[in-house]
Amino acid sequence: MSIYNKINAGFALGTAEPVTSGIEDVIYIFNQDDITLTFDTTNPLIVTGLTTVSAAKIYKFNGTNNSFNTISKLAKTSVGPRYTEEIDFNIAGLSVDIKTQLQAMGYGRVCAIAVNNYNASDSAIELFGAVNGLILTDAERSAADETMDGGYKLKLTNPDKLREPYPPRAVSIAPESGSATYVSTIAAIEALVAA
Amino acid sequence: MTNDPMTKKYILKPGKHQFAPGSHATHHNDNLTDAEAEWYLERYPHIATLFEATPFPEVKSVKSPKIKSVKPSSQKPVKSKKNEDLPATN
Repeated sequence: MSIYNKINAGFALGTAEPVTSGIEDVIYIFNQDDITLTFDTTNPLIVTGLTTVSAAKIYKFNGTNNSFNTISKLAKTSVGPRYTEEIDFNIAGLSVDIKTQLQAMGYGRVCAIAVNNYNASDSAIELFGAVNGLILTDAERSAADETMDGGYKLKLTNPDKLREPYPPRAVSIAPESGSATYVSTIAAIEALVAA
Repeated sequence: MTNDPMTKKYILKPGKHQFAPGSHATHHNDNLTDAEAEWYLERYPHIATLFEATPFPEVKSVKSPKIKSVKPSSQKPVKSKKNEDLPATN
């Protein structure tokens, strides 16, 4: 049995790759039922593969001006740490199609992949909602709001009474040959994005 | 129901795999026998890509459509009218 409650490494501060804040202005969202995940054999925090069920796809939501955000927060419980997850993003548009997607995200469960601005680490690309999925809990459009200029302000979170048992997973997908990199992972995700 | 890695037909790619979305990722080479692999492949054909390149007699591989060579049509090509044959419009 693996030793799950003993730390085995520290952290040294350095100037080679200082951490930076923010995520890129893109969120990849897919229906939880549409994609199966492959995890690293020894570390369940690493997702090494995404496999679509039939013709399922990943959908890409673009934004601008560093306006997307992800939050992962530990919640202490009687049975160990759990994690609440939030993804704040927006849609700079207004259409029936957008409303349809937002309505679907309110009913069904989705998973979301965010790309950190800090991409020098092996956790640059993170998957949220891997176990219990996420649902849309805030979808606000204030037509006269100057900050959003009539766009949709959105938030994906864990469904009621559910939290994730792990921190956000790192997505790290290798190319056909060689080891996984930031670029190979983005390429693998983009290959599944709906045209 | 052998799981001998030397004689196994169905070899999974490295990692622990989900065979159905949302399920626990439990499937890996050490615990998947050929018989189980065939059972799962029959019910969840999308997992075929999770296996290394091994013969899949039960799973029809998607072949790329053959591009037929375009034969020249039997009809004689219609010669375009020469400029001088065209009726004058002005």
